[in-house]
Amino acid sequence: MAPAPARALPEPETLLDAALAAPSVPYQGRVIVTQWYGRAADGRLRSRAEEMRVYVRPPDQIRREFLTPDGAASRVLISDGDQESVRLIKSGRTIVGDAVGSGDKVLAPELERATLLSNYDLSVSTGETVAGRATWRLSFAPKAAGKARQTLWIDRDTKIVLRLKRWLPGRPFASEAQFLSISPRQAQSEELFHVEDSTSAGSVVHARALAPRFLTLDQLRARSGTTFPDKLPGGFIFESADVFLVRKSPVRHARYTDGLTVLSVFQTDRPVRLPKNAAIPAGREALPGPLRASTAGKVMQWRVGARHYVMMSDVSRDLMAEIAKSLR
Amino acid sequence: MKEHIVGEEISAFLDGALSGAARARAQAHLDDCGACRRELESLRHVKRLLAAAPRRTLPADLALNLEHRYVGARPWTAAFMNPAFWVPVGAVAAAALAFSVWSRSLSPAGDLPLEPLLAAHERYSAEALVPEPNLVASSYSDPLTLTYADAADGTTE
Repeated sequence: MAPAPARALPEPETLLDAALAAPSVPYQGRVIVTQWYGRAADGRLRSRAEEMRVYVRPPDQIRREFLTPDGAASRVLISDGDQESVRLIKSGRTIVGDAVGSGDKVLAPELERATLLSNYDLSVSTGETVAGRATWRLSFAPKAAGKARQTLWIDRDTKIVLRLKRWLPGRPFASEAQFLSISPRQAQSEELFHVEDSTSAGSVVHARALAPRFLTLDQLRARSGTTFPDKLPGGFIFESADVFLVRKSPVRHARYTDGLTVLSVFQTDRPVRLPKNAAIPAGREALPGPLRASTAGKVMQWRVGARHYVMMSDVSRDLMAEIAKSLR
Repeated sequence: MKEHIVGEEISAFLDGALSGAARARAQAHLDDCGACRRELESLRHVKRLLAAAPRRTLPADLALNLEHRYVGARPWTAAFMNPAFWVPVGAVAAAALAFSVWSRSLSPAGDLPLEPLLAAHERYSAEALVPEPNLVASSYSDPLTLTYADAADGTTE
């Protein structure tokens, strides 16, 4: 058999834009998600894995069934692009709210994209097959130290992201999502994508966390009485903010991005209870408060006057310390 | 056949507001009665139309100002004007204050849980320019579930 003709590599930015566009074909598949988040006290890696069935109907209807080890659905997430619901099978409860991406972002998409390109070097190479399909590999190498590398394996035919991995070199923090199987261009029934709402039978919770209200930096400063910066070390810029209540106590959430990695800074009037058994060992930079590992990455808390701050991101310990220093 | 379900009861059935026994009775009647099933479908159709109608979102700052002003507002504000109100309320408040101080001395009950903050951060990750939707959805729905799984119906705040 004659060898397959060599194909020219696409331009990184062209491939990025194609991968970020809404899906052009319906598909369904099975995905495995794995996360590594630090070490336990005995030195073993802490990790979690989850399998799901995914159904997609262009442009923005999505259904994800998260599976128990025996293959049954434990929760079902459905989005129609406008509304989103998470049904918890065991309790019979359904959480509903605005769908991801349904609101206008404060940061213009063009500026977010330019921020990404200024903070990372993009490169394309021929990827290995994923779920039996040929891929391009799009890699993001951070220009600043202490940030995760990321690689996308993109289906050459449909431009669906078939595999993603984020990792901090030499550190026990990484996350990966990979299709085990996929059936592109398979028509999906409309019935699969009916978002449960208040007119449905059963117990429905309207979740604030599924309906954030975005604020500008000036609005956040007015709400908090604090001068949150518009830039942070590591190439992060202010993206937006929201304010919500937990146990009737306000939580002010400043959201920063470098175009690829996100970083949250929460300001509260009361301390936040951090996980106990996930401490991260000391490093080069002194820390202003306790640092813990979670599935969201690292979580650090410190206090300035009467206010408490909690920072979350998957950047390195030393970069978190540097960012915290700039916020004090 | 038993009596038909009245309009308010059908509406409550649709909203999931009927108690277990009343809900079971209504469901049993609906299984047998075509007229009530049609009524139910008609009402469900109207509710879907209303739910699908274009929604206007308040500007974030205005919504927050309103929330700031009215969260915790009491419907019995006028009772403050009545001196007779203060005697029993004062006694109860003193007891509640004493209990609160005592219980806070026993445990860090004033600490906020981390899960709502994790959910907000993961939600933010899902809004990022380069999300991996399946990866984010997996880590996002866990804290969301922990935050809301035990909440009473309606908002938790």
